[in-house]
Amino acid sequence: MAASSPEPNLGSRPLSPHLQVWRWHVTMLASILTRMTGVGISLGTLGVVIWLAALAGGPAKFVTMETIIRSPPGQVLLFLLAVAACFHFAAGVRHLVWDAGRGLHPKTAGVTAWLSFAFAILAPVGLWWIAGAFAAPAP
Amino acid sequence: MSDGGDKHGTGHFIAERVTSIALMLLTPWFLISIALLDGGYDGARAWAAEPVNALGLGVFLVMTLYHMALGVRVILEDYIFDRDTMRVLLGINTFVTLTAAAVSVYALYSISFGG
Repeated sequence: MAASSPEPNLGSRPLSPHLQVWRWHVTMLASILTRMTGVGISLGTLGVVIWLAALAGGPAKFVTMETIIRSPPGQVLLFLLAVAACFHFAAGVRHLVWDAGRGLHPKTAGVTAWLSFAFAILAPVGLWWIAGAFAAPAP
Repeated sequence: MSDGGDKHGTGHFIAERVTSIALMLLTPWFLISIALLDGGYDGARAWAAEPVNALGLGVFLVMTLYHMALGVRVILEDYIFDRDTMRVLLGINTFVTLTAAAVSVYALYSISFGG
């Protein structure tokens, strides 16, 4: 974030190889999803900041926020954000393990990519479960 | 003239990893805490006013926002090919993340001490 004089990427920094000539592989999908989910949860983080500001702003603002979150589109968006966050989390763990020089074999990387997808679905379901979303409604 | 680097790559690499290691702990804590929140406004307010939680939220949000600024920066550097556009977007990135950090800290201050 330091204020340097960055130069645009005019071919001097490597980008992904030409996708057209590469056989599809799950690690490619995991790689680009790491970036895409990063952008998604960046917007989600700004949402969390607004939620916190609403909490500080008093009951009326907080209730407005809760109404939006608890509406069906709000719940769908919240779930997708949770999926994105959990995937990005798993991808981050993979990257830290790679930084330690482990898990870099293509087969291992493929397996951990699939594990990340599984985690991205199961962890949010778990969060909704502990939030009581699947409990029988109170009588 | 450009070799494609801005001479801050090592610092960026380290900062991205330091924040990600911190977020390995803070993110599960935040998500589980939010999932367990109960009692509407009063419940959320009481939870966020607990010193441990207020501090945790502050550290979580500042770490997240910094990590986010680093990540968005790389994406802009990779995919925006016009120098002026890129510099404006990098400026917006810094501005938005720092503003969000200031809003977070003020909100937490207000919740803890605002009465």
